Amino acid sequence: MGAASMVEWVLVVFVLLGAVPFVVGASQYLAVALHGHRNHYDKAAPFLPRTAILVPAWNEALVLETSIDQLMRLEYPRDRLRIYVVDDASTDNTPALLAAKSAQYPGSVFHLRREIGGQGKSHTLNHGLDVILADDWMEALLIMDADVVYEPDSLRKMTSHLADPAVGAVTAYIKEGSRPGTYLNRFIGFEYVTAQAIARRAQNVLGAMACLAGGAQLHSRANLEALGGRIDTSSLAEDTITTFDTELSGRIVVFEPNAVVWAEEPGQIEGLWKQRVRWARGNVQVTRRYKHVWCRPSKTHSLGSISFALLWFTTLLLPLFMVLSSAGLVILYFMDSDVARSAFRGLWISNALCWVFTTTLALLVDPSTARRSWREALMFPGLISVAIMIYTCIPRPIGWTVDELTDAAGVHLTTGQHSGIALFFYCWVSMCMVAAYLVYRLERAVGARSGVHTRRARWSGQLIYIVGFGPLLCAITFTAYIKELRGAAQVWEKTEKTGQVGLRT
Amino acid sequence: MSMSDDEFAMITREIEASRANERRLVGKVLLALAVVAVVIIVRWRWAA
Repeated sequence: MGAASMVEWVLVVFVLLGAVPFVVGASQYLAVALHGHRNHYDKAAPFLPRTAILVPAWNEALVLETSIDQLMRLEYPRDRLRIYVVDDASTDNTPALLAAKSAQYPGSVFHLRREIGGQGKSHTLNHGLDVILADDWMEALLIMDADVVYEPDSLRKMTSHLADPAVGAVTAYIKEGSRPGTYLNRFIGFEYVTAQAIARRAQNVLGAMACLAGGAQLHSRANLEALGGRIDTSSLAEDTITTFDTELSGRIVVFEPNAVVWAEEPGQIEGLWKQRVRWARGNVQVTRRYKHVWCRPSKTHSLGSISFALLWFTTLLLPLFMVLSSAGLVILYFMDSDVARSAFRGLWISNALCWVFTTTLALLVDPSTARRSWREALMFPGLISVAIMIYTCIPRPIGWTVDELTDAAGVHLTTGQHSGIALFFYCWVSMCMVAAYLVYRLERAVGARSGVHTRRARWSGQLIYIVGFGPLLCAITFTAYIKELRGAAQVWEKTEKTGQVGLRT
Repeated sequence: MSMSDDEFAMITREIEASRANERRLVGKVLLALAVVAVVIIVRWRWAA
């Protein structure tokens, strides 16, 4: 094999790396089929432990009333339920609201106040943990966010798994519940089907859970005590660190997909960007912190399995794979355009098949979200990527149509123009992230000029249908890499909530 | 922990319903794979 041919093969491998995250992602969807048989229901049993609910709150007056009222409607014995709201030095109406709720539900709602706040969620949680663990009333602890609204049967569905003493923690299916919600809420709604209803079922099958959702994590008292009764305060990923530490100590973490809770998510890209950069930076920190765990199988946990490492790293490194894939295509184009064309087609046919499978299954798994978000499901990769996938799958009819249209318009493309179009699509594999970043900047700029919540600001954000929500998430991950490399300050930026969340069916 | 027989029976039924719900996922996965098969057939037919 000549040196040029060797280089071409290496470049083809680079190109096909772009398909790896999608193939690994699709394999998670296949694992969902096993969840009917590999689950924790055999060891679940009716179990109603005395449960303390811990709610961190900083200026949450708009959301707390609904969430507390809904907690008091839980189908769970009232004498076995206590709600502790830790008010992190709120400056809004939160203290007055909590005083009213404590009076309305005496013995059930407790107001804990931190006079000096603003240190972040984990410090607020630790304040509550100190109080709750000080006596032995609590047998299980539910940590939630102030905006989360619980379905009446959700808590007892979660606690039934704690009947098995091997279980350390249980998490629920968090669904996007903003009402009326924006286009972005519908994208997030669909994303949560893939990231929770699908991915966490697959993690149940693997026996390794990546993260207990911050809005719904139920711990046994034994687990909390084994963790030292504290939540990690050194990173932006305290939920993931709690999850990993639970599993590393040999306790099981269970996802209960039939326990449904609703959360309000950002309605505009700017809010989403802040929230997700924090999450993505947290994932980078977790990757470094647990470097001794990856790919080291253990008898006490499954976090060290190769399959879990594949899931974790293909998601974390997705932006890098996209850049390598795009670079490979462009270099190949200048070396041998026929090989570049074949590699491009192979990449996108593979992506198209994964997209068809994962989108179809996600829509089937959660029909209520499918009814609300089917357009966003179809446009998740973005209109341009969808067009590329359709073209690579059925090139002839699309080619004929394009020829007909250009002939009818009297447009005749030169060879140079053809090359330009080809290079655009080859670059798109990674440039879609840049385009998504530009949409974010545009929404910010329009929002700053005309008001964040104006129709014009929302309209500019809707360019994400063309660019893709997936590329937006990749751009956010890429930003997180840069912030971590630069050692940017860890700032806990609160996601703005409006209280427009409620139960949906 | 005190729990009435009715409560116990109801929660047991809920667990069973959840388990049955999860078993139905096999059919959904097969349906999604069937859609992929259709796409492959269409692709193959148009490419021929």
